[in-house]
Amino acid sequence: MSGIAAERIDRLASLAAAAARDGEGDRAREYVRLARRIAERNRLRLPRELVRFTCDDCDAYLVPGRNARTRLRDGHVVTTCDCGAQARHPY
Amino acid sequence: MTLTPETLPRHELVGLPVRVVDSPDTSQVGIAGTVVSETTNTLVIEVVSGTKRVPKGGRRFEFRLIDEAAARVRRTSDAASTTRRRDRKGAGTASQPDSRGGATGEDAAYVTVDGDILLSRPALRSENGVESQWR
Repeated sequence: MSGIAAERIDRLASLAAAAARDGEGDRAREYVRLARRIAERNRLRLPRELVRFTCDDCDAYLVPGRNARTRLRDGHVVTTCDCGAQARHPY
Repeated sequence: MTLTPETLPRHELVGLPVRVVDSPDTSQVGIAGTVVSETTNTLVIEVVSGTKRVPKGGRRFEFRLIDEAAARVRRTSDAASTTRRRDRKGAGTASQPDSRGGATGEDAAYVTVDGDILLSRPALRSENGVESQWR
């Protein structure tokens, strides 16, 4: 019965996105942390949106152009958070 | 497992419209706004003038449940919905002893919750009372 947990994660994902767009970066970070914690406790995967657009190091919700740089490399995307952490995703 | 009056105490509270209906501190009664953050012992409610941190213990909260699509557009129609809330308040049924009363309007349901049953870490609240195979 982890339906509630899955739903909470989805809700937090959209809340974090909305907060990040409104300039409430710290609040978005709080939502991301909570979503991660719930996923961890309930052994759920995070939605791809959260995997791609959050910083592994500082949990910030990444908005490309605002607090993240996105560059293309051979076969992968490199996203650099303002905190300096880099994430690579294949394409 | 959608957000219903039954699942609300274990569901995500952040983002829900809430109103403090009862509090030992009378100045807190009537605080209405959106939940923006939650800790073990408190809810942070965003009101017009800023945010207010209200302890959960000993308070009663009235949450308004709306369907997900309505929640998206709620931000823009906030002024309209507050007036509707006043109108519909009379429709609310009294809370049951287990402090989960439900009241339904046409597109919204009001759930009054005893703050004491929300006293839990936000991440663990979903697990309380869930029959887990691992126990």
